[in-house]
Amino acid sequence: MPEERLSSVATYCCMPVRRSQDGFRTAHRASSSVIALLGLDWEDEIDSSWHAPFTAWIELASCSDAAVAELVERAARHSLFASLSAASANRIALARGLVLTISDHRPIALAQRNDLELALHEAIANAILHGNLEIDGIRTLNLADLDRFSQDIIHRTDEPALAARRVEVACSLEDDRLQIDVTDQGRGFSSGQPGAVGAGGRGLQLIATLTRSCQLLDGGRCIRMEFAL
Amino acid sequence: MDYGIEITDQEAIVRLSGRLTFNDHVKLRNLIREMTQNEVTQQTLDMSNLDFVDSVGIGMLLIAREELATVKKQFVLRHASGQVKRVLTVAQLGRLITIED
Repeated sequence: MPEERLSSVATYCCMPVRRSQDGFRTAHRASSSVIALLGLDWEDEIDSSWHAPFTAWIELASCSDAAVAELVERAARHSLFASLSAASANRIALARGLVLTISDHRPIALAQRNDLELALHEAIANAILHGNLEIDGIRTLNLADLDRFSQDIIHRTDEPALAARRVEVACSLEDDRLQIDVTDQGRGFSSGQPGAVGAGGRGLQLIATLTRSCQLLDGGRCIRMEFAL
Repeated sequence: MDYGIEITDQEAIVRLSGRLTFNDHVKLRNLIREMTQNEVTQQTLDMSNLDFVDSVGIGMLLIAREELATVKKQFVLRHASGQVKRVLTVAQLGRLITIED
């Protein structure tokens, strides 16, 4: 990210700026909590930030300083927080990174970590594909439907207005439970829409199986998942 | 996800590695074509080096099974472990595809 933009955002958010040893530039409020502000060419570096003291990852693309400040305030209200464009969230293993960081804060058995990663991955995939990119799932067992799905992903991620929509993940870590909200900026989702039919529709069923509870909020733009720890 | 295919007299063994997710739609499309076109009847996916599968990955495996059935080929999943074995179980894929340890 250009130094000028980082300084501008950090000043707006009343936060100091530092450069970590691996070159990852960050703004932080206190030594116990570091927010990664993702500007340009950050995707190759982000794997080095999936651990404490990082607690938030905010992509600056198409965000004004005021919008970034609002995201920083939201991040401060959660244990972990990420806000990325659909295009970026589609290119990185966001669920894997967040679960690595969660397990850095709280030891979690491997089997439970696997379930957590799968549920979070499914929620993020729903937010990217069906929410922000407005792509229908694969509803039949036909190769033609896989081809249609494939073409939709390629073409919709090339549409700037859709690709810029945000995926937000907000994690609240408590003593014996973890609550995760995954939010998109799509048109919403009705829980009355079909479940597993043919090749698709298994995502929400998997989430329901792997979580203690899950609910759709804000007309389906947000899925709230709760896990016992 | 990456894959390599070893063809013997009896079967084609497809060795998968990495993570099989919705982003692998192009590779899965190519793999399905290769499996339907090679000359052996049984197509076996060796999942021992596969780390992760999501629900779209499961859906694409079901499409592969359907396509292979139309050309009278068998489709077998083998050596799944960890998260991959867990998701195959949760999704009850064993009802639809032969799964071998």
